[in-house]
Amino acid sequence: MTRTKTAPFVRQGVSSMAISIDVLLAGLVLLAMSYLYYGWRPVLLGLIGGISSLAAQILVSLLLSRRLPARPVSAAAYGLTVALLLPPSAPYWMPMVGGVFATAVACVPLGGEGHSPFHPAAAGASFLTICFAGQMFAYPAPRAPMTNFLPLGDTASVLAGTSPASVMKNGVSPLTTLTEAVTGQAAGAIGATFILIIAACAVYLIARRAVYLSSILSFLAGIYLIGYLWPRLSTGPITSGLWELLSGSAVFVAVFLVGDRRYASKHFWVRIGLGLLTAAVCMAMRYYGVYEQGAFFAVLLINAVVPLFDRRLTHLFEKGGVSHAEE
Amino acid sequence: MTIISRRGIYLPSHKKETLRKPVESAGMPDRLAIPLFLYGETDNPCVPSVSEDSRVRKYETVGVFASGFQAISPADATVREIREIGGLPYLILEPDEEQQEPFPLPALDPKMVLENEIFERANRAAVTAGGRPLSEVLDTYKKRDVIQLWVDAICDETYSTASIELLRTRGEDLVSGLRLAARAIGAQAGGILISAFSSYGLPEEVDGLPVEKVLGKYPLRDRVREKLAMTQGELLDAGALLGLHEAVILGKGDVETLVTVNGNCVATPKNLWVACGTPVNYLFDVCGLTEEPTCFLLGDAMTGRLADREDPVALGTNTALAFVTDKIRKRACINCGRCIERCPQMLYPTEIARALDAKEYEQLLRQNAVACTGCGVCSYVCPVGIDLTVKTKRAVRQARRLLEEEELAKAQQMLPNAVPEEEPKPVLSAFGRDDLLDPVSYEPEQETLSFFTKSLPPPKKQTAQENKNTQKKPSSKKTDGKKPPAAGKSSPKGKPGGKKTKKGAKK
Repeated sequence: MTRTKTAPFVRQGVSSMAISIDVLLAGLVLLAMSYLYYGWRPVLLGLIGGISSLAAQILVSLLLSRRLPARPVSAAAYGLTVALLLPPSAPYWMPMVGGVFATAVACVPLGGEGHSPFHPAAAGASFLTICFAGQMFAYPAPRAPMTNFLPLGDTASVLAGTSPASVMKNGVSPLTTLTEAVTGQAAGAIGATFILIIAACAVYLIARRAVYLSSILSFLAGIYLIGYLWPRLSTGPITSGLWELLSGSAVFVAVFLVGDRRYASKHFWVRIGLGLLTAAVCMAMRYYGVYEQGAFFAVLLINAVVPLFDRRLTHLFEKGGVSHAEE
Repeated sequence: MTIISRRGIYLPSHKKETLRKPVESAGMPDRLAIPLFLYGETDNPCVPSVSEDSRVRKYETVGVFASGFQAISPADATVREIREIGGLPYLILEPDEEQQEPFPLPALDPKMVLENEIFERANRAAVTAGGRPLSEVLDTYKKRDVIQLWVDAICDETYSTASIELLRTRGEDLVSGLRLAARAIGAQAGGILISAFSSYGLPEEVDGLPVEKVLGKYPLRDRVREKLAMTQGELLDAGALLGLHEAVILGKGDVETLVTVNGNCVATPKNLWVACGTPVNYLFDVCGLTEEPTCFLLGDAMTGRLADREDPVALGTNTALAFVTDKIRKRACINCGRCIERCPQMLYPTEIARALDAKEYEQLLRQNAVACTGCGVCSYVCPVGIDLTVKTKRAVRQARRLLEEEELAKAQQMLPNAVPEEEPKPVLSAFGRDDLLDPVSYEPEQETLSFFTKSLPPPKKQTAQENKNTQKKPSSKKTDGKKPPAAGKSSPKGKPGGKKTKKGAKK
């Protein structure tokens, strides 16, 4: 029972933090997995990303004379997501810069949670890619769990690994097997290589209504379809499509960025269309771009047109007041 | 009947507190306020047919509406005054200590009764359905060629169990009322519809008519209505049908309503038979309060309205709630889209609210804002506590105004030389309460105007002191957020339970 002047006088009681907390929990699960493979370093990177993003939100809110958020969980979630897109051997200042950019530049000044034209985490990751591409894609070689953890200090001596995406960029098949890629034994970003765990996180987030299944599936289907129709590998279209899916943080980006309901379209068919469009942009960047992956750039571009589609084109897909008989 | 849709919501249920409990009579309070208006009527003013200090008997006519519909007295009483409550006109009656056995109208044989006799009796007995005279509702159904009528005992909201208890305790009378209504419009009696979630312990059929269980999400009633419309079926309120049965078969007036009294600070939630015009606080005196409520509601939690403690219970009101409320922390929209996902009408509440704020009224029409039914689902699911329902209701009003203007412009184009007739001003419009004419657009925080007593004969002659007091009296709609005085302090004559009629509880 809530104190309002008008009906309804009961509310569901879902907090505005619910979505951010769910994303945060899913991100922490991926951090825990990363600990098993790389030790404390990725955990520290994740914490730094979250905390710096949170601090940036408070600071910018004060500077812009805005009301301080009571529980700024969303900022921490954005920071953590940026950190999960970094290599485990990244320097400690990288998640800090990415987290601060995500919140202080791409989120709070542009309207805040849900209203910024860009997903803050995608903006943070894109900024880091453009400014520090060298460090962004310098992945360490994957290790067996609980052995040879990364050093907490200087990572110069760490054995460099090649990610499937970078190998594919040169038109060569990855050296790792598909099973290794699914279980996280391929070089890649902190949170992006544990495909099975990401899938489990996706199930949790979908059940909690934090992400749209339609956005995720349409994006992944688009990636596979383009990989199948225009294969980069000589091993065949099916394998090529699968490798396009499993490389380049595609699954992580699908679940944590493309599916995020705050930045996705509110209409089913628009979501499906934009999911496919995001996949097309992402694949175009992989095929013709400078970087080995372009998923977060694609998200950034498509985010900007979501409000336009929602306001101008939704009446083509859905019409309010349609009777349930027609639904 | 199962209605499957991803839209709508499953509401928490607080029905078990009053379900399958004995139905009691609330007794008679020391004041009754008879409404001199109809919620669903736009141009139907009521002129009192009694003067101050005159005596009236139970079922005696106390006012006549322009349409011929009558307002009747729910008790043997003395007429005291015409007073505004919440900006609306009421005839205040003071019931007698001892209630005499009323003189019923002659009973009619249900097998021989003619169609027009049913209409006349419904009018004479002041039977209403959804705030309109039942005869008018039936007439509308007849014109729409409705071929099947169903009893609406779907209590799809959080607290109300009144219709279910009516079915449990007066099932055969409900069916009798349904058959009469069906006969009046030349339709067939379909059966009784109840929510599957509250169907435990109810019979499978009553007097040869099936009790159909409906499974689905809130707002279930709207969806059932849509589904029935496909086979030219319609719903009729259980209370109205009981009133029709009593009017035709027993010759009684429709002056009592079954009300579920509940809330998080009510000591003993009950279903009570309440005389029309009983003040809200009287009901809570009868049921007892565990702590001081911060608000009273008339109607259920999803679609009801805030009530002042003195607000009278109208016919058709089936829930009265008292609450100690929690603070809701409102924040900016996070664009999560839950409201859009759940809206049963497939609307876009956030976009409608934005267009309203930006005064982009054309966008309201584009978004089909008029389709909003005011079910409250958007506000219910909003994780940041935005009152979207308020905005959509405003948008509905604005969109309707636009549509009317468009239609008027079209009509003027077709008839350029025609002189438009001046439309009679609806009586409620004169009070500035257009919102009350339509439950969808009702908004309790609107300012109330108070000049009813100037336009209704005969006004009470007030002394200078009384005039001064009236002017000083604060608006009754400003109670939200403040603690109203203790319900017990203004209790009616005597103790909770008040005066009991000789006849005792309505069975």
